[in-house]
Amino acid sequence: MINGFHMSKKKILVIDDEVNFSNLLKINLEDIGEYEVKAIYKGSEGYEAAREFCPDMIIIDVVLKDADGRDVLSLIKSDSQFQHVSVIILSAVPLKQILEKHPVLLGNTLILSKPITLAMLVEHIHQQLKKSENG
Amino acid sequence: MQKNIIHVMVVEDDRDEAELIGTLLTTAKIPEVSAEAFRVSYQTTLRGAMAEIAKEYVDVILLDLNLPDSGGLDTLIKLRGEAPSIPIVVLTGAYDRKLAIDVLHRGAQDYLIKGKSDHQLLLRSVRYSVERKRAEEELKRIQTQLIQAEKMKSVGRLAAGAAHEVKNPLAIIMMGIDYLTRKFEGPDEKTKMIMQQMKDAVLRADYVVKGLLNFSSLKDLDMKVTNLDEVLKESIALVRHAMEKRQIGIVTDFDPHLPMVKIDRSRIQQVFVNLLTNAEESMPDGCQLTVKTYAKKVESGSSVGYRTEDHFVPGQLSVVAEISNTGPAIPEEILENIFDPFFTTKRERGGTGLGLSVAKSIVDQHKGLIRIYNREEGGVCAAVFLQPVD
Ligand SMILES: Nc1ncnc2c1ncn2[C@@H]1O[C@H](COP(=O)(O)OP(=O)(O)OP(=O)(O)O)[C@@H](O)[C@H]1O
Ligand SMILES: [Mg+2]
Repeated sequence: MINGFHMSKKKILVIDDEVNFSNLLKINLEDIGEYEVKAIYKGSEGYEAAREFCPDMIIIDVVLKDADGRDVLSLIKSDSQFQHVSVIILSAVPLKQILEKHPVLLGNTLILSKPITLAMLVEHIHQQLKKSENG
Repeated sequence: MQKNIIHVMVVEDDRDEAELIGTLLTTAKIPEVSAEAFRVSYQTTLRGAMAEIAKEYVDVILLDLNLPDSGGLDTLIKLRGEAPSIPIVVLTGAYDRKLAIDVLHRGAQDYLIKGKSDHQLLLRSVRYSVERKRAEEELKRIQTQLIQAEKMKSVGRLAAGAAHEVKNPLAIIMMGIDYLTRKFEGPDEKTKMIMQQMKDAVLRADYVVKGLLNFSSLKDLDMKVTNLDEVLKESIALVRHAMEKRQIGIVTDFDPHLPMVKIDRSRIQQVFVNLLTNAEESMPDGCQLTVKTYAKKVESGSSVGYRTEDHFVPGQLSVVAEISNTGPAIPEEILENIFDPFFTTKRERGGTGLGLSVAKSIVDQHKGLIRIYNREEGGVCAAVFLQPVD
């Protein structure tokens, strides 16, 4: 873990029912070369996917057609294996709304708003991952 | 209780007639009107009458239609055009049924026949017309308020839905642009430029949605006792650069003894930035911006605390911030629309028309008042009246 060049790729699980968005995000992040990305489109498959993929980070939208993203997150995090996984909530709904209903979501969870540029998102991913490594 | 003084302006070129009316009014000792006293002023021409109402607050006008500089219905129409909110009672020589109907249609509150009017008739007419006009104005105000509230509500509803349904596609476009930008990297400056323009367009659309969301999240204000001058200074700092680049001079005139206000600082700053930005955008190079603060007692006759206006009562103190600019005036015909959501004359320059409607809802939430008017000396003044801390 001393030299970044020898680090294995970080794994990111994307959970978003906007299929095109998830796919594009996967392509964009993987093109950078530092990340391995799995994209799924159903909240209900989130936990299973996490167990299988063992992500270092989860990027999730909270408004999913088949589930509330926050419940999906709670379920994943209730597994001790993922208790400290980094999370980015990337959503199109007003951020305030999320915070009001779920104020405990802070901690190692970052909330960002769509639309976002790739550069900006990558910057945040970087910082989140660094934080969880140090802490 | 304070005696209510009614200012009556008698517009009549026949001096004897005018004096008679004045005497009837000022010597009135009738029990039913004892709560009121009359102050009478006299004008003999239409021009004189117009000059007086521009300067002074007048409660009711007694108007002879035939004056040296204007005659007939025209006199009424012109005067009403100038002062639509002041009740007018028309004085005429002899009874003329057609004329009576005409003047009432043209917005006069009542109609009196000269010489025939005794004490009681005159007083009742004056008093009723003031009352009726008040009731009319109140109704009009409530109607506009309702309409505005309705507009706000629908904007709020729209915003919540728009947020999700617009921001998701925008996010996809943004990711797509980032992908394409990488694919085209290097060879072609023009392609790069187009990609950047597309990105800017997405951000602009996002900015509009965010502006809309401002409406729905206005409920929770973070109220703190604050010095308004400080907030103004911060706001000016944000726009100073843009102004200096265009040789726009900024003059400030802060009242060092300004009473404190209890406000949500960042929200009020947003109001000022919106007003400053509007001023900046309207001014040709080399114009001047003036920012001024002062405390002012709300008078019964001033446009603030103007009878039916809520939030302020006559006699109370208000804290005023004025942002005025030289340059072009706002065309009369759009003045009543500028606070509407999406009303803009700058569409092609990227204006969204949300600046003033957001500013107004914020000031409303503070139980304050916002006024925008054309200045006599040219240019525009935007004034924000806030409640002092008690
Ligand atoms: N100081 C001013 N001088 C001249 N016209 C003004 C001034 N302030 C506002 N206006 C007029 O009022 C309109 C509405 O203003 P508003 O701030 O709501 O929207 P906008 O400035 O057009 O767009 P934006 O949403 O970017 O603020 C403007 O388009 C302009 O025509
Ligand atoms: Mg504006």
